[in-house]
Amino acid sequence: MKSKEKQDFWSTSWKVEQKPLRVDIGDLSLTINHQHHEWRLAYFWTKKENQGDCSCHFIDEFPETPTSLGGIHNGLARIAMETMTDELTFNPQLADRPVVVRPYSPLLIPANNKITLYISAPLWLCINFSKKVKRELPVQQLSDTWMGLITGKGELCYGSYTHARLDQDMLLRLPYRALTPVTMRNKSNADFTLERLSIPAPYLSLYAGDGQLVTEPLSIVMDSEKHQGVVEIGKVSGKKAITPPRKKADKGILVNTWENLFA
Amino acid sequence: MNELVTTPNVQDAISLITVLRACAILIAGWVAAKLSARFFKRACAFKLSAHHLSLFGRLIFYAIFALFFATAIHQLGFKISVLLGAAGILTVALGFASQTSASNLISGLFLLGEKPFEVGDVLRVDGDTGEVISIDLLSVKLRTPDNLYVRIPNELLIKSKFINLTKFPLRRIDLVVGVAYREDLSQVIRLLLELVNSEPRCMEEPQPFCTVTSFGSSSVDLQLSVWGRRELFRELKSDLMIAIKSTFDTHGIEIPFPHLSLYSGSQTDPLPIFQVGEKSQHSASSDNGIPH
Repeated sequence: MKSKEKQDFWSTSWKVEQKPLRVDIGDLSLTINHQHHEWRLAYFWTKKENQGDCSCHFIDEFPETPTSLGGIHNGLARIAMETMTDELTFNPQLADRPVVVRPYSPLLIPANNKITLYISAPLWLCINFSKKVKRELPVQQLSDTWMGLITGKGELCYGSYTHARLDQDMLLRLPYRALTPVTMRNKSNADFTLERLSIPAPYLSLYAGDGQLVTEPLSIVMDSEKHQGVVEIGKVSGKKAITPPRKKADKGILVNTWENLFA
Repeated sequence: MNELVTTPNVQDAISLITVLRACAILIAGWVAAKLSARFFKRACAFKLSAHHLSLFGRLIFYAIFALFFATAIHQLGFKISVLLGAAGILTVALGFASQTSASNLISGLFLLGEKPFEVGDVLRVDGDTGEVISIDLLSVKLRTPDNLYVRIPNELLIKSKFINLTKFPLRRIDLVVGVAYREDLSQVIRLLLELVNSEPRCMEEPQPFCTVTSFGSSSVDLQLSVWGRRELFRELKSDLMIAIKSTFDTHGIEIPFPHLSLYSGSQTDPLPIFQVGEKSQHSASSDNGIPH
């Protein structure tokens, strides 16, 4: 599927009547069947390590039992509808929890230095059955992880790995991942090693970028000596807004404890 | 005694109207106490826990009702001060008789202040495990997983150890995995960690780990520890054990049964076992004097 076609995936509406619709996006394979007053979903994930594609086509049979599904962590769902339509649309959505990204190798940010790195995170596929009835599934299954103290003062997040690229030209542009530019300013006199970073996904919006969905840029000012970190959500101009944020941050600023941001 | 307790002419003092008035005061007091307690619970519903709401609600009810009760008694012509004096002597006697109840009551107040658990938490006390369904003045009630009712005096909770299984949001699952001595332990550890990393319900942080813990009598024992959400503990533990068994079967890794090697002496080979029908082997064995 070409880049423009991949982007059109999000803006296309599908008419599902006689034959089930099969959607393959990232690691997720989803089959949707239209029946009398209900929608039926069958889904599973298989790890493809960012090699997965983005496609939709009609198939002949709907898998009725979990054993006929492939992959791991599969599921079947039935959604009852008061008023049935036969049209579906798909929306991209960011994660419903913060995403903790871990660079494949730790990154050292020298004292009094500022860098910009590019982090991508998988999207959630939001299936719109009607204006009010939706269902979300992650295109890549992320592990649970915890940021903060294990005795309770922390937050349940998703865990992911990232190359944390500093060069935009090296980015792998995938239609099912969203890119977040993160500017990190180390204002202390000590070097800082980035091993983990929490991206506040529920507070970010999605915009249509150049062959890639993007979010607002983040600006993090940190002082590792004082254990302080302030995350500021920037603004995006000149790009079409696709999905609003799940939560609103006051004045675009999130003040996190050090443990919830990096540790 | 009658002179101290009532006005000189008891028959005159206690008339039907007075009794009715006292009853009306009692009823009004009951209604007022009930309404006050209910109003307090509604006003503080989001600020206090269910336990605190219940306890303070009851205290407010009893305090207001006691005031109306004293007023009703006064209406009937009894002198409150004298009654309180007599009650003081009675209290001392009752105090000795109700030491345990008083201890439970005071223990309940300490538990209220310390807040080691709340309604809905799962406790393990003295071998009993159950969900806390109510925290009362004298005792705490649990409901066990098989739907039994357990009453635990507050005094017992204050003076002995108990475990709150649901205090923190995360729990660590420790699995003991035994493999045969002939297995490559590095490969086993690698497979176990890969399995855990592919399971989304296992937390990335705190990180899972796998260590060799002992050389057992029949197997080499490893401990696989993973962190997960508290509410998924039982299901995740079971699913992990199933996945470990499946992975070991796929890779031909043996989980040994307990076994015993028999030796007839330190200088001899192990006793050989033959199937019936292997005559050539049997005749060789019988020449050596080995029974079959």
